[in-house]
Amino acid sequence: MKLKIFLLLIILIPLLFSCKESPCDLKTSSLLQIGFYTLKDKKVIPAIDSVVNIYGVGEEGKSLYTNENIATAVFTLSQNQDMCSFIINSNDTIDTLTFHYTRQLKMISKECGFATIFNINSVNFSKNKFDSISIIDPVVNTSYEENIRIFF
Amino acid sequence: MLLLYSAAGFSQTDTNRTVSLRIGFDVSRLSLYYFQPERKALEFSGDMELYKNVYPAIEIGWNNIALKKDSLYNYYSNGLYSRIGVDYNFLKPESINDNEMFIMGIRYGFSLFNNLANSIRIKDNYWGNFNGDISRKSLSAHWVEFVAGFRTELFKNFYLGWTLRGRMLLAKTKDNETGPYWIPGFGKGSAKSAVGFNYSIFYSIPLYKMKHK
Repeated sequence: MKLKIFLLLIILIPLLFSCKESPCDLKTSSLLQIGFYTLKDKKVIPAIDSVVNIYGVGEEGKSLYTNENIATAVFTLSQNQDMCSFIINSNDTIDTLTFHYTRQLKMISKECGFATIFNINSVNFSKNKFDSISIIDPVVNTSYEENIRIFF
Repeated sequence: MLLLYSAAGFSQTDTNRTVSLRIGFDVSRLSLYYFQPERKALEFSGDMELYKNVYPAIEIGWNNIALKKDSLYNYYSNGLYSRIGVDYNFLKPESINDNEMFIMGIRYGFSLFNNLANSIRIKDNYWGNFNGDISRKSLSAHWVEFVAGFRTELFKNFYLGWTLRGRMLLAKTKDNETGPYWIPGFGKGSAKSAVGFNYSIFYSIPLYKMKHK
């Protein structure tokens, strides 16, 4: 009996040495995802017929999207302040979107370090082409799910 | 040594079992330090057979973590923890002072610690990189823990044993950040559950004898 238990004790020793360092395989950028929708025959359908240009206010030279035909877009929010604005040029009609949010730091893993998690408090927008906006999920994290719906 | 142990053993008819205070030291924490020098940890335990097969147990530990990743972050967590509970021995002793154990038990664990991070850098090619810190905060956490393992008396009063542990977080301090990354005695703070492992050596101090039928 004693021997059996002693062996059971020994078997576990390799477990102590099984910790290995692995490379970062997780996302550390939190991206806001917006879906564009339109009403057609009283049904909400994705708005795929608009060509858009998107860039951040103050970052005019750097477009997120250039003349693209998209029904969803992902936005990088500024991690250095609690708000940021984007210009959305859709078929030469310009709208401005401003996000107000709070920020938290989350350590993703030992290998990957930290990510910023955003919580959208409010969205201000112009109504040139946009009709309305609804916040589906205010938490912007590294899981990339639809956060906001814009209706044309 | 084993002969001595047998000679000092009790006859089958003796029903008075020696009750000892068993002090344990978790040697797996030392090997952990060797393989993961960013983690320093110590853990001591104490248990005693107060009733037949029932061992109230306490564990006290210290954990210090300094994680560093060049150009990404420095993270520090330092604190104490304790777990209080009871083990039950399911192995029937072959003789009155036989000390082979298969134990299952439960613990309530709590930890008082602080954590901080500095030189945090998050890459952002669009708006510009983020550079920041998380200031030092005192935090606490508590959890329940289920224990299972083996223990055997190798030489008189000297024991060796291991346990596997499953932990479920009950609560942790809410702060402005989504941390802590590491809770001493529990594990990763972002998870609701964690697994643990102990590999300990023990010395038991004989105290008195009790009826053990």
